[in-house]
Amino acid sequence: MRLGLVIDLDTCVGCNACAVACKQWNASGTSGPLTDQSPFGRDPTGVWFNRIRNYEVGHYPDSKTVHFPMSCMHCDEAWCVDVCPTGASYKRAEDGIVLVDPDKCMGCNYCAWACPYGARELDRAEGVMKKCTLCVDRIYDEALPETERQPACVLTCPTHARLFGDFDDPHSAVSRAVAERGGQPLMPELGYAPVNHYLPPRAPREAPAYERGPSLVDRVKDWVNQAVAR
Amino acid sequence: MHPALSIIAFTVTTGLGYGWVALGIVLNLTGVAGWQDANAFGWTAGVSLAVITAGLVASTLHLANPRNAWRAVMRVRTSWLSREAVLALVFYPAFIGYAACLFADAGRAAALLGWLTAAIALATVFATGMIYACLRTIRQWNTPLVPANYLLSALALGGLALHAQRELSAPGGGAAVSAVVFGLLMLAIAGKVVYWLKVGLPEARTIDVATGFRMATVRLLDVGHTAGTFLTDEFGFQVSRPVLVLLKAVALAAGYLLPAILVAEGHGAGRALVALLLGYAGALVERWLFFAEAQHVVRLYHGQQRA
Amino acid sequence: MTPPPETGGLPAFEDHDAQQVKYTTCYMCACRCGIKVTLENGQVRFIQGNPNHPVNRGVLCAKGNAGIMKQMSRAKLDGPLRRKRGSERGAGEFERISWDEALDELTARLRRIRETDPKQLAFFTGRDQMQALTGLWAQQFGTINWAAHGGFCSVNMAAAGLYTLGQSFWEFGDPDWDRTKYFMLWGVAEDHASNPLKLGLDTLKRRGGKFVAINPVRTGYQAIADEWIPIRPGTDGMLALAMVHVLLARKLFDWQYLVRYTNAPWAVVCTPGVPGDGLVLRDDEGHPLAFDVERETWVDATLPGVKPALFGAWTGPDGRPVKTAMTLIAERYLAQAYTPARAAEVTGVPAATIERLALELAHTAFEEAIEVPCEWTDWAGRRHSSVTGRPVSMHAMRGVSAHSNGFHSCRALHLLQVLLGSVDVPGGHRAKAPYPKHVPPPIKPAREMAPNRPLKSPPLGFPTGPEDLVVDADGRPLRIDKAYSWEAPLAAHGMMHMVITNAVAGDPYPIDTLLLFMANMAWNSSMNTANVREMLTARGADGEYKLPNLVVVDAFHSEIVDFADLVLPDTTYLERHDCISLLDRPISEPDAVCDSVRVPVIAPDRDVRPWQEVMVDLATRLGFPAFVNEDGSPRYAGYMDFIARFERAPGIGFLAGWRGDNGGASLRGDPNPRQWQHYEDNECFFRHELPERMRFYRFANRDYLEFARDAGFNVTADPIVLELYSETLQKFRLAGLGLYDGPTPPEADRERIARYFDPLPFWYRPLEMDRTDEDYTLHAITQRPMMMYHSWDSQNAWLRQVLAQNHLYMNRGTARRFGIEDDSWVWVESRNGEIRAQVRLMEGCEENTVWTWNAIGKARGAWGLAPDANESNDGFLLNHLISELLPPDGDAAARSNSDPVTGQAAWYDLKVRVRPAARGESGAWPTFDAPAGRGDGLPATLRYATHAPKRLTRSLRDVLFSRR
Repeated sequence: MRLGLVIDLDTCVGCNACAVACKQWNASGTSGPLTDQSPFGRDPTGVWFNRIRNYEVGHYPDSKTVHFPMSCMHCDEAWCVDVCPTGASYKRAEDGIVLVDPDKCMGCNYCAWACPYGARELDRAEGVMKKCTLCVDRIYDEALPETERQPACVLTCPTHARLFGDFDDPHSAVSRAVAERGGQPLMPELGYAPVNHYLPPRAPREAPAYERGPSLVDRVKDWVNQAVAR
Repeated sequence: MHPALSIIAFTVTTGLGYGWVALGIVLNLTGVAGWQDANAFGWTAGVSLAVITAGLVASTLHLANPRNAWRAVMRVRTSWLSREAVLALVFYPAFIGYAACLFADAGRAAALLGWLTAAIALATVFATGMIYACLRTIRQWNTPLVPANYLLSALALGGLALHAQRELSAPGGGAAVSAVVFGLLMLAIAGKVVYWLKVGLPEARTIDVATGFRMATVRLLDVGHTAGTFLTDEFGFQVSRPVLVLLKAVALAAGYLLPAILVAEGHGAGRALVALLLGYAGALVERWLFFAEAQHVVRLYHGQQRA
Repeated sequence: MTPPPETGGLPAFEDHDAQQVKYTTCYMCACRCGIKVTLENGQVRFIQGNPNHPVNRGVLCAKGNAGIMKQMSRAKLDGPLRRKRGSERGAGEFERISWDEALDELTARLRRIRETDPKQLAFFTGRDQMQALTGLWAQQFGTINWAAHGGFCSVNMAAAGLYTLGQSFWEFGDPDWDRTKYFMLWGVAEDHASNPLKLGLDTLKRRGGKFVAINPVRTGYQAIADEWIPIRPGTDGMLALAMVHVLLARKLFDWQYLVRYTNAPWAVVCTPGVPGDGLVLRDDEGHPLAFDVERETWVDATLPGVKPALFGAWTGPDGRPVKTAMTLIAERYLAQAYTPARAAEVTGVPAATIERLALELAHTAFEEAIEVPCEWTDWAGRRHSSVTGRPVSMHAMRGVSAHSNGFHSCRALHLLQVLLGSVDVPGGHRAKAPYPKHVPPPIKPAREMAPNRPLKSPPLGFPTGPEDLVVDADGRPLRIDKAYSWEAPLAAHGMMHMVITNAVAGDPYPIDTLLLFMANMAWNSSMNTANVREMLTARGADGEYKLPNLVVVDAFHSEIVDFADLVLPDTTYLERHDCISLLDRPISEPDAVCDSVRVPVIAPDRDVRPWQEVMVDLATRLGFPAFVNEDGSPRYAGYMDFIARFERAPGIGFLAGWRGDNGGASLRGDPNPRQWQHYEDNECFFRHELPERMRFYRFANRDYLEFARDAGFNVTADPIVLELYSETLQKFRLAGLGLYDGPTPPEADRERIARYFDPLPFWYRPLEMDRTDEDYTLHAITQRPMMMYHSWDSQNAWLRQVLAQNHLYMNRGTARRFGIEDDSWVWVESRNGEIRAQVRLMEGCEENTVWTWNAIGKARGAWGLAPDANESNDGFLLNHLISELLPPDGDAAARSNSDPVTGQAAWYDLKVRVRPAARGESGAWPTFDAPAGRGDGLPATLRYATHAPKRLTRSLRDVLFSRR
């Protein structure tokens, strides 16, 4: 299996639901707690596995605003794992999820340097690197209803702009979405072979219209009443 | 990249130590300039080991969880950091063995272990360079010029140390050493200049490429967090162009040109020590620049147009 | 996901035996989504959307996901507070008192008011979701001075809809997401609704429908629109009416729909300058008349089978000249004033675009009409086998509503919808029970008050003529906010934004006690905030506060709390019972009648009480007739008992589900003491699916109309006629013209009334813009960040990491013209003052508009944040720039800065100019000093978790031998 996410840039409205759902689940999850610094003071910051950035493409008035969630891409060529000297970072053979064994991490940040996508964040209070686990503590939990065995971000997305599934299975929702919509990984030229894919915004839909033409009615009296029964 | 002082001190200091040891052994084994006596070798070995060890200790200062530092040797298979750690560890028995053979007058063994020790020392420096050079995420680092420069820096700095050691134990003795050190300094300057020229080339990666919107101007509207994050702290370091140019000039002048002049133009322990200190300080500046100038590709997602 | 045979030795991460799952209703905003809460060790492990819930169907927004941090807020009030004797209001110096002391003191004061002059109590609530209860409480107290925050929020939208369609957007009706092919989103500043709108947009886009966003700013929802129309603020009505022009000019409207369901064919008297002008021609019984084209005679327009002319001018049976309402519509909108070319000048939208949009709408409505097989019976008992769908739909919110021309702009949208025949049809805009109601709903605002007496009707209602105004014999306002006065005759949600100004000015009269619930009037819920804060501390000649007693009820330490004389701490939404009632702000869907409850999932750890519980307690102490027995003993054991047993009419209570002895009755039935339990057993919501025959044309659908009557939604089952032409408005206009047989406005109001009470929607320049244009060239508006929505959550430790400082956003090209650089600090000036803010440049912003995120800026020391927090030092509040009064117009007294029809606060009318701040000037201005001691003891780090993590482990073997 190659588990990962598909993110639909056509419907993402940038609401941050996925980012906060991720924070919420993982706070008490296997990587938790996710330390927050200065939570009620100046410059609040903390550990997040999923962050949403907004971009503008093109110029006014034809600009397009794009919301861009980013989390671990669970790359096939996970260089973050290769560079880890302690073996704390690993990619599961079973499903390709990239994880960190917190008891082996020495907090050298090297994996974060190797990651082009900003997926890894150091929990300074613990001295341990943390990252998206694809909710490995949800997706195999048989005590949860089957429909809920999904990453928290996918479960919560109000526009269903996030899909989760097996990219090795050509019939999975993620594989089909990528095939149908021309899903792309980010910066493939770096050679990381990211598993996560992004569906580009669709071409704006053109609606058919009546032909433009001169006014048919110059004065109201031009109208002939129709006998329509009330 | 955030220039962490511990890492700068670590790479420069261990580089000095390994360069010193490697150069000393190689010059000795090749007969260009032998150890003047056991005493001179003894304190050279002691000081250089201390320098290397101090550098290695400094490297652990940037670890968020140093208790697990010992695990760094586990992934030699894939990680240059692991390789460096293992080489750094293997260096000790090799060097101590070489020293023992030297004291015991075991010529063949000393030669064998000498070559081995020098090779390990240089390999360690090479591995340090590769830690950075293997990162495709940082264009400024992802080049063979990085390990080459790490080696050239280490040898030049090690040469200055060797020169100083010789001037301290027997002033005015080693013209050959001076010539070699001068040559190494010149090579190091060439290496620096080539590297900086390469780094100065127009950046290839743009925000358009990073986001996949390649047909139009892409600009960041909101980065998604008001205060900094781990990522902005680690990767957000920015230094202005005039400061860069100035520091490069300082690094070249203080770290390489002045020491080269001092080495070439005369002798004396004080003079040699000044040259060494200048070289060390210049190398620190140059290494600071190495980090400060490096632009991680994630900055594109944070709104930088090119990296 | 089925686990692979080898899951790599994953541990059992969650100890489900130690966890408990409960269902309740979210309250992080006004959407009221169903949530499923997992609890562990007395704390919240996880809040997720309830997949079965009709509102959110399993999804949940950022706010809902951050509920834990609401519970962890440092701003939670922890006990009743009384202002320290001798301390100043605003200084935030309090003493903790017991609930007994607090309630005894308050009861005594309220009893004295109720016994003497009940209007001395003004009770205003913020974004509460229990207006049916607070309104009932005020009614029982006997004060007409009650309202919620709607006057500040969206009354234009609600009132325009209720006076036109008997329903409106958002809580009243929704686009038919599953069938619509063309959706137009007007002026949604990323506000209402949240998850339902997101779900809808997703459905629409996946189905391939076209999404057009009309908004000065392209963020959030507008970002994913197929077409973005950057419009000048305050001109949406013009755009809509220019589209009406195109439809009329090209004869593209639904003739049948207009004849059958609207008052377009009704004859209107045309005798300018004579009483009766503009009123509907009626027969002796008062039935409207229309001209039958077949019989060529006057007929009762409400009868089935008549074939009324849609167009025409005649001499009526009484000899007066008449025209059909549709003729007046055509005359109005075919005129030059509403051509696309003229509209282009006003709106900034090219004429060709306006024309194309109208032609696209019409093409979709008429050429892509959908026929849905469906047996249904119309109001006259005729059976039909299908319904025709016009798959065009719209949604509009604050950007249209919060202007002083918002009422007419919203009416213009409804006119457009009705011409396209798209209201309550498949693919169009569909009502949600209890809507549609009759136009307007038959409730009149209370006027008469007497000591110790409940009001005869609720304080808020819907006037149908000048005689319904809440004014005295001389035409002076009776309500403290001047709602339903000649200043704002149709102020159906009250005018909360005027209460403090009026009370402190003693105009129309001073009051004794202002009771605020969840209303942050010392900050973002006031216009002219800095001055309002001064008003709250203003003293009269006697040295006493001009507003003698301010009681604040809230769960959190907002800015207004520091100004309170008495603070009653409320519980959080996870700690209490609530009901989301059909009598209140409903959560129904087009296909189902719904309501829901909130139940506590965790116990409060502080000395706090749910406000609804306290209200029932106070009502009992004060002896409100509805709350005590004949002998004065309490009638209800508490809030839950009250909700279960109170009946507004026989069989109709707050909750519609599981009524009757054993819970078998829906909508109407005897009180059921086990009703709450039924709700809890059913995940805290009730959903009554409507049969297919009741899903469309509900204004004229007999089965539905009878159902709605029986369920108590409407008083009668008479058909509901959509009022394109508003006779109600014309009555007010006649009063303004001195031609009305009834109350007449004071001289100073006549011209305004005559101008703005136009029976047909029209566009006029927003009032403030009209008077300040030349000096202030930029429009300034606000939006809600989706992850915060209201100010409630800028305290939230997770959400504030995403956004702790608001910027002033402006178009990059505009900034260049003004010499303003990205991220620089600027001064923003309006006629009301100036503020300093940090600029951020963008592309997706109309060139004459600047905007910011609402309610991120805070006062120092409020909301449990450190005084140096970004929100109160870098973030800013735009409200300082907005005056609650209009610039004087000639000699007339200053009017409130509101829509002249409804009194809706016109805070989107703001115009400003922007200049770069001097070198060295940075940080927000103005700032307000924090009370002493604020920020002490705040934690440097927060590490929330409900259990120690089961950590991931990688085997040594794997570390040493795996390839990667």
